[in-house]
Amino acid sequence: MLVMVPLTLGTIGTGLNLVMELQTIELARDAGHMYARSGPLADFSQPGYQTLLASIGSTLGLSTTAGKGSAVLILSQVLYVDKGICASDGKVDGSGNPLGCTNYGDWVFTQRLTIGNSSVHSSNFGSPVVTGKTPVTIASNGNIDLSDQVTNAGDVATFAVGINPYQNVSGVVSGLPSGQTIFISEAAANGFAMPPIVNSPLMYSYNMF
Amino acid sequence: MPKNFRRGFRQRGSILMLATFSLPFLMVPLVGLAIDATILRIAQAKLSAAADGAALGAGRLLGTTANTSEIATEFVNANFRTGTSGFFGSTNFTPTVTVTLGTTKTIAINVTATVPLYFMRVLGKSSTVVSAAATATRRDSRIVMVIDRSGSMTASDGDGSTVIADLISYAQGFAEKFTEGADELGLVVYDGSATVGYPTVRPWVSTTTATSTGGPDTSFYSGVSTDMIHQIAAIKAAGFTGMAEGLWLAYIELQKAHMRDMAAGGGVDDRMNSIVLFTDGFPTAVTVHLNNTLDNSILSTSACTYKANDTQKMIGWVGILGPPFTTGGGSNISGVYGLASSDTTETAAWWMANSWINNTQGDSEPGAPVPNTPEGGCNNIYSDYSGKPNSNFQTSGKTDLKQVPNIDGWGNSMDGTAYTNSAVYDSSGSIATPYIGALDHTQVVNPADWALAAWNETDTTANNIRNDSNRVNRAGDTQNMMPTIYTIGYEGDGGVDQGLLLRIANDKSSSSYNGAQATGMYIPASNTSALATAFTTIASAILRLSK
Repeated sequence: MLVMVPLTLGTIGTGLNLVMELQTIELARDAGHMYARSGPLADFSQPGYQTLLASIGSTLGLSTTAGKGSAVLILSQVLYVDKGICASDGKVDGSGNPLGCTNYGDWVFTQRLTIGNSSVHSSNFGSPVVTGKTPVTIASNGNIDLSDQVTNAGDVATFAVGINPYQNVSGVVSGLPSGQTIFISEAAANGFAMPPIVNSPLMYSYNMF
Repeated sequence: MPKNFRRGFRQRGSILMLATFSLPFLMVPLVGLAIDATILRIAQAKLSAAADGAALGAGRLLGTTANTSEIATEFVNANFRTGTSGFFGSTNFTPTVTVTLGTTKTIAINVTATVPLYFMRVLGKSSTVVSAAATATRRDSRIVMVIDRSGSMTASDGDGSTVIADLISYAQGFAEKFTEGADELGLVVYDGSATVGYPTVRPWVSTTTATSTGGPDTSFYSGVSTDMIHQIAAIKAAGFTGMAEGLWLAYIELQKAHMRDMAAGGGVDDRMNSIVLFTDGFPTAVTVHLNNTLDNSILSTSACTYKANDTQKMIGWVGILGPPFTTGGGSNISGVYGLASSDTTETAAWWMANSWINNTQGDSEPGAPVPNTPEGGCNNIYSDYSGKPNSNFQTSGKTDLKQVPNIDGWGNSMDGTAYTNSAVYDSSGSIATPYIGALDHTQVVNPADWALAAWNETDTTANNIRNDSNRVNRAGDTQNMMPTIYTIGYEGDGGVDQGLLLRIANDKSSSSYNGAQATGMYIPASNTSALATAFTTIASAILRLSK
C-alpha cells in the first residue's frame, strides 16, 4: 500500500498535467493558426471570435470574461521597425535616414489581445507599457497606433535570444520585406496541483507564425 | 470443509505475492510506458505546431525577396527549441524545407527530432524520433489601386502637409510591398471621371480580350519614369468624386490581365484579383449614357443632335456639388463632360497631373458641339470646362432630359433604394445626413436625386464587380475572377459614407454581406497616421496565404 497509493496518485496527477500540457500546445497552435491565417480579415477582439477561441480552450478553463477562468490566451503581432516604418510616421530626415525614430531597429507590438484570465500568466515577450508618463495606447480592437510603434519605447517587445525567427537569418532582417509582422500566440493554464510536491503547476506554450 | 472454501483460502496469499512481484516488473513499466508515450505525443504535437508556424510565417514571404527556406528554418527553431533547455530535452533537430515557385508558390516543411525516453530505458530504449510536416501555399496577386484625387484631397493633414501628399507616400509604400516580376499591379485615379494611370498605355481601350492593351503588369516597380511608383507621385488633386467609374475601370483592367495570363497559361489563371479603393468623401459624379438604347434619357423635344438611341454617342459624366446635397435651384449640378478615359490625345502622365478641368484638347468647348461629345447639340446641359457647375442645367435641364438615367455610362444600374443604407461618419464619430429624400428619377434638376443615383451607381458597380458580371462577355472564359475589394475611408475631410464603403468591400459587417462573393474589408482612417496603417493592413490581408 505504501507504494501503490503514491504511485497511483502520482500517475493520475502526472497524467492530468501531461494532458493539459498537450491541450495548451494545441490551443496555442490552433488559436495562432487562425489568428495568422485570417490576418486582418478576422477581428479577434470581437465577442464572436473570442467565443470561438474560448470553445477551443474550454477544457483548460479559458473564458471570454476577463479575469475569469483558469487559462489565458495572449495574441500579439510584432513588427520590425526599419527605415520604411520610420518613414511611414515621418520620422526620417531628408535622406530617408531615421530621425526621432525611437524604436528603430527594435521589434514592437502592433496588436495585443488578451483573452481569459490575465493573472494566470503574463506574456513571455513582454507587454506594451500602458502606464506612466507616456503610456502606449491600445485601442479596443487591440491595435496600437503607428506613432506608438515608432516612437514609444514602452511598445518594444522582448525577444530573448533564440526565439526570434529572424535573429539568425543571413543579414538579420535585411531580407525581411518592410512592414511584415510576426503573429505570436501564447496559451497558459493552471495545472493540476499535487501539494506538497507540486503546488501551482503552470502549463505554457507559445507559437510564432 | 467445503471444496470451494478451501480453494479461496489458498489463493488469497497468491494474489498478494503476485501484486508484490508484478509491481517492479509490470506496473511500473506500464506506468512508465504511458508517461513516455504521452511525452512523445506532446513532443510530436509541439513539433507539428512548430512546423505549422514556420510554414505560415515563411509562407507569407513567398514571392518576396526574402530567403524563405532560411526563414522557415529559423521559425521552426524558434518554435521548437532543442538541447538540454529545449523541449523535453529533444536533440538532433532536422528541418527540411522545400520551396516550389510559380504563380502558385508552395513551401513544404518536414521536421524530425529525437526525444529522450525516461522509463523505457529499462527496456533498452533511450530515445525515439518524432516527425511532423506542414505546407503553405501563396498565390501571386493582381491588384489595381483606385485612388480618389478629388479637390478635397488638397486639404491640410494638420501636420504641415496635405492629405494628397501623404496619400501618395502611403500608396507608393503599399505598391512597394509587392514583388516586382511576380505580382501584377495597376493604377486608376478618379475625380469626376476616372483614368488609368498605370500601365501608361494610350489610347486606353475598354475591351477585355487576351490581346487588349493594358492591364496590371509585373513591371510596376521597374524604376523607369513611367512605372507605377512614378505615376503615383505625379497625382494632382482637383474636382468631383466619380467613385463608381474608378471601380469599373479597375475591373476592366483586371480582366485584361486575367485574359492575357489565361491565354499564356494554357487556360489557367490562378492569381488573386483585388481592388484597393481609397476615398475621402462621397460619390459626387455619375457616368451617363444619355441616349442609351435601354434607357434613353433625352426628351424627344430636345434640341440635342443625338437624341435617338445610340451605343456610342452621348456618353459622359455629370458632377454634383456637395454634400450636403440640395434640391432644386442654384448651381449645384455640372454640365455633361466627356469621359477622361475616352481622351485620345493626352498621355497617362498628363492625366496624373491634370484633370477634366484642363482638358480642352479635342473638344471645342463651350457651346459648339462636335460629334460624339456628350453634350452634342443640347442647349442646356453642356459644360464650359471652367471647373464650375453650369447653372443652365438646373434652370433649363428639363428641356433636354426627361430623367436622371436608370443606367450609368458603363451599364450599371443607378436605380433602387440601396442608398437607404448610407451611414456617414466623420473623424469625431458623429453621424451626418447629407442625403435628402427618396430618389425620383423625374427630378432631373435636383442635385439630391443625382446624388442618390450616384450612391446607387457605386453600390451596384461594386456588386457587379464582385459577381464578375462581365464574365459572360469574355469569350472562352468560364472562370469567375472573384475580385476582392478593399476600401479605405479617410474621415478627416468631412467624413465618409461607411455604409457604402462596407457594402463596396462586402465587409462581413456590411448591410448586404454576401458569402458567395469574395469577402473584402473596409478600414476607416481618422487621421493620416491611421491611413498609413490602413494601407499596411490591406497589404497584409492580400499577402496572406491561400492555403
